[in-house]
Amino acid sequence: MLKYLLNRIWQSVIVLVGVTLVTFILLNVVPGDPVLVMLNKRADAETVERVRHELGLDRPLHIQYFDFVAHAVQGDLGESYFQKRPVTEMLNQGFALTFRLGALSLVFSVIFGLLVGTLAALFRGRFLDHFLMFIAMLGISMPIFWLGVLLQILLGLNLGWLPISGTKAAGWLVMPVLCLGISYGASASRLIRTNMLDALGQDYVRTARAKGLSEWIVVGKHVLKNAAIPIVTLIGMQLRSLLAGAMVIEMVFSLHGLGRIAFSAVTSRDIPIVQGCVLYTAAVYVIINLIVDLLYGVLDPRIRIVKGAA
Amino acid sequence: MAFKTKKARVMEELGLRAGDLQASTLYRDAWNRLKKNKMAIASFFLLVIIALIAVFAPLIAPYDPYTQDLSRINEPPSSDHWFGTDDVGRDLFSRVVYGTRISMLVGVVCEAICVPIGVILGALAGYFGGWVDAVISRIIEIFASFPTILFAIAVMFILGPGIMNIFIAIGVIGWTGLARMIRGQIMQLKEKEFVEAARASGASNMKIIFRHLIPNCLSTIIVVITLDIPGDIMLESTLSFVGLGVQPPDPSWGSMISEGRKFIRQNVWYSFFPGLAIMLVVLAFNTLGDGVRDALDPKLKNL
Amino acid sequence: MKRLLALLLALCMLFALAACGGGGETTSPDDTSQNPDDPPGDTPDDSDAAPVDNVVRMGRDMASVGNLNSLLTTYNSIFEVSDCVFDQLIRKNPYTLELEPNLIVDFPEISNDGTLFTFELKQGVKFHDGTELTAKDVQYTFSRFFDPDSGNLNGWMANMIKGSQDMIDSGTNGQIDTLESVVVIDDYHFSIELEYGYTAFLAVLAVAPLNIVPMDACEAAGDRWGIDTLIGTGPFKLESFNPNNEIVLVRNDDYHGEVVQLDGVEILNMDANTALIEWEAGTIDVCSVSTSLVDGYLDNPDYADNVQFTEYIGIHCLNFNQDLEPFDDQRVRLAVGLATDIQSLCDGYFQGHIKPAKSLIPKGVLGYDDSLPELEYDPERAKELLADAGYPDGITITATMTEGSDWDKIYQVLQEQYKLANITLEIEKVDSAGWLDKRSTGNVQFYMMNWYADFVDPDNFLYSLYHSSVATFFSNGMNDPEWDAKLDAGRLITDLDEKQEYYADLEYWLSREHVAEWPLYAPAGYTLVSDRVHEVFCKSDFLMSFTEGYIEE
Repeated sequence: MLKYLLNRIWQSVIVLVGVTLVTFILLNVVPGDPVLVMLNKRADAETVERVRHELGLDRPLHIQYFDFVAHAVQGDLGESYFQKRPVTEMLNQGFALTFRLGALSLVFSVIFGLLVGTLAALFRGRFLDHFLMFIAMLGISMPIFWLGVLLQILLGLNLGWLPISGTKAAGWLVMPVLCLGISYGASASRLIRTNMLDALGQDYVRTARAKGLSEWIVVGKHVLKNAAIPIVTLIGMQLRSLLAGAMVIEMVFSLHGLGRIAFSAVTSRDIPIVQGCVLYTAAVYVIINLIVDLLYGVLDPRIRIVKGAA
Repeated sequence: MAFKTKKARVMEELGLRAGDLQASTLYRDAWNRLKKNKMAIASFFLLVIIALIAVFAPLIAPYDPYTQDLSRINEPPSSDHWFGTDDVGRDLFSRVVYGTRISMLVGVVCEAICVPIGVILGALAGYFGGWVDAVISRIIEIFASFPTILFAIAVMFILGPGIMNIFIAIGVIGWTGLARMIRGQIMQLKEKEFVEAARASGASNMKIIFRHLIPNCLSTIIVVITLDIPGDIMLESTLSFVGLGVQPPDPSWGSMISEGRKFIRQNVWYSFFPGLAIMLVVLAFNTLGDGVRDALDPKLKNL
Repeated sequence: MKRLLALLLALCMLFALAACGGGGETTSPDDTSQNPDDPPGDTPDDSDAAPVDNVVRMGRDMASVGNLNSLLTTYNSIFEVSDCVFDQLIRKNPYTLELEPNLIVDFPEISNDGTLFTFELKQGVKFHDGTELTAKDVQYTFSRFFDPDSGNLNGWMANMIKGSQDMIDSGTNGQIDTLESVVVIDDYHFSIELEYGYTAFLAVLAVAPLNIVPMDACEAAGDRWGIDTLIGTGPFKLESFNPNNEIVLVRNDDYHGEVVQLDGVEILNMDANTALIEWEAGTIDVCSVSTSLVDGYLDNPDYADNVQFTEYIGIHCLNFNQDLEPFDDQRVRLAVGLATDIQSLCDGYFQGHIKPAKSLIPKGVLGYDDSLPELEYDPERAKELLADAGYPDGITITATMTEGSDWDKIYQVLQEQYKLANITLEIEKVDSAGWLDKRSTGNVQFYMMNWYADFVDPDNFLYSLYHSSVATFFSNGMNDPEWDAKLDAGRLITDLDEKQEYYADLEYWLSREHVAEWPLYAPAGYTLVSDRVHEVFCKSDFLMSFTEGYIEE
């Protein structure tokens, strides 16, 4: 187990280095020079030269990259070209926001999925089941930014129930979480419904019922038991799109999380910030996937054996 | 192995069976099962209709999607303009109709890029194992742990704007899921008797991979394609929404929503209808994808 | 039984939804007590109970703001903040943009050859940290301005000061740390010496980046200046700065001039679309609105009175790259100009909100000649000129523009207009970094140039845009030693009437004879200001003015 864990951590490090390397290459291949963006109104050759030297951009590319890695290992991601402040300092706040948005959306989608999925399973084949599953399908198929734009107008402006944007007003997270959570909640509910149906058909449930246990206990027990694996699966499966979704939602609601920061950094070629954003998100991705894989082992010993074989 | 989604595991099991079965029976059975799925069939016909709309857009659209009429801007839906008009007086219905072309094309072209990359890399990793597998697996993980949108944006910057380049950008990102599944499936298939037999009769590695193993993964590939297309469509519209996708004046649903967002106080319909269109197409693909997956393996549902 | 269970589950679901909503609220620690119980929705009418809310809130699209140091930026959204926190020696009147002494008792004494300026500082001017402003702070400000170690991007604006260019060129960790030509005479007197007599120097002293900083505090803050610390003498103090999110300014009660009436200003970073919705919801007081959207507000009786119009001192013109075919031929440049129907662009696309321009030098700047005739529109002659130049079948030209700007619609209008003169216009969109890369390497064939005055002087238009030293940077290929010599000579003219005539002539040659560019219109902008806020407005130099503002329900 320990060996497996160490091996996984080692692989994760390789992945993170690879991710930064690809980003670095991409950003240096892309046309566009951060120095010229900084000096957008007037750039004589001397000033361009000077700024380029200050930023260390006159060094060979591989030196620049190794320098970045050497510092990154020590937790120093460099300084923003434009803002002249440490990248970690700039990103921590944005990351906290994105992470909170993502985590709350996940919590929301799990609760939503549990309730809707169980309800649909209980009413299998009836109107409520079809209705809920259709709604879930709609939720999955809706572009979240579109939902966000419409909710901003409907709930924010016309009804005035929720703040429209930003992080100042109380309850600012509700609408973004709702937009992001609904589509993942919808997938969760479909997954949980299927698992519930499987469970309800199992012998041990029939036995439990035959024993005269109330429907309550039967469902309650098996909801929990059977929901665990699909939920963990869901987290692993949808993490990437959840992060991407959070970035888009940030743009709709003017939240300054990683998404917005990264987007403006890419267009101005603020390479240290883009590197930082990519590294942060990739790290989250790698870590959560590791946890998910470990959780499988805990939840279902059979999977661990399969894994061991592979 | 690392980072395997449940989908991937399911596909591995699926592949196991696919190898044993006579291909023709498998697909005939699947088709019979699919026919019984009313929702899937309805979605299928809906997609056929949408594809026809895309092909015959000039015949269906009542107006030219590029012609401006500055005297009739930001109009709500009316009998003249079914979906209203945009900020330079173009007919929104016609633009939504033309937008189907881009969305349908996104699905087809992106998958045409993803599938070869994913299948070949996945097959090589699964078949050879060892260091080949280690290297390819790390590449897969690197590409999979990129924030999708950032990566697409960077690729767009390198290639420059243009419809084709969006397809490439999305295609270059989207192959990792398929590669993982194919890799897992091939790992199991290569232990099968028919592979042993082929090897014994002197077939080369490449021949085994391309003639024996990959054809046995076909059902997985079909399922993955149908389930991935809605994601591609969504990503295209997201990129267009943040202003990096299709170039104006070409009508993309995502950029129409983004443009319409500016005018949302004057004319809600401007961004409403394109969004509805996206929803419809994605819904149809999702339902059909579910149906195809269920049909190819009736035991597994709703993943 | 089953039904009961379902009902309970449904109830649970509602509960969970509510709980999640609540969770969102309680988990946000940075919720201030700003609007505790605002009735959501309509304008936050201040009821009798609440104290009068004397703070103006503005929504601004600032993309990413992590540093308020005005030397490190070229963006107006930062200058807007630094103008509130700092003073320059000379200020621009917010209404007329006329120059007024600010930190100095009176305009400086100028030596006969126009190179030595002697100043007297006001006494008792306090920085926000309580220290008094003295001449050493001025000396420090100028030295820092030209010291490459400070990372200033705007040093070129004042490089007529003697020795400044040497200092800029000395590089980081260079030998020169002090600008010798700014001489401290005593605590309240100092002088500045120029390389040559430059009449617009007083206007230069009023540019935003040349704000006077306190030597001790600025030295102490080091790299954190603009991040954690920002101390000036200005009418507002920086209360808090939450990077990328909001900038909060409060009134400076010890201001040396007239103390402002507002309690403070909050600048919230949000994208332009969101700002409009927030404005309608009444959460913010001020935001800008683009020309394409303004009619929606002007036509709405509830909002028509809230729309402000500002004509900026600047110009939009068509820029031809003389280094690239076919614009190496003057006839082709003239043809494209003649094929441009500016009047119809202004009346049609801009709905009459904007007036055609006649010259590159805009109204209000020395060298503008009001008696000039309007620029011609004559597509037939354009065709003849093209035929003369060897293009009887017309030409195809490519305009490059940045993504995300409103201009693609304007280009699309031009596209239609040019068809009449057999000119095919292709539009190429790139992102902003890609655009700057292409333009500043001289590879853009044709584009619409916008330029706003850094300081009000013709030199800031003709020299800054069309001197041969910037020919590649602006992709105009203007390379004519004779023209350069004239630009250099113009800088030395001290007599205003002579200068007016001199620059009017230069401009005429540039726009109408040489046709290096073709003027289109002076840019203008719209601002939405809520009913309760008064005298907060956008100035002609693009920055918001808060100093005269007050709140009255």
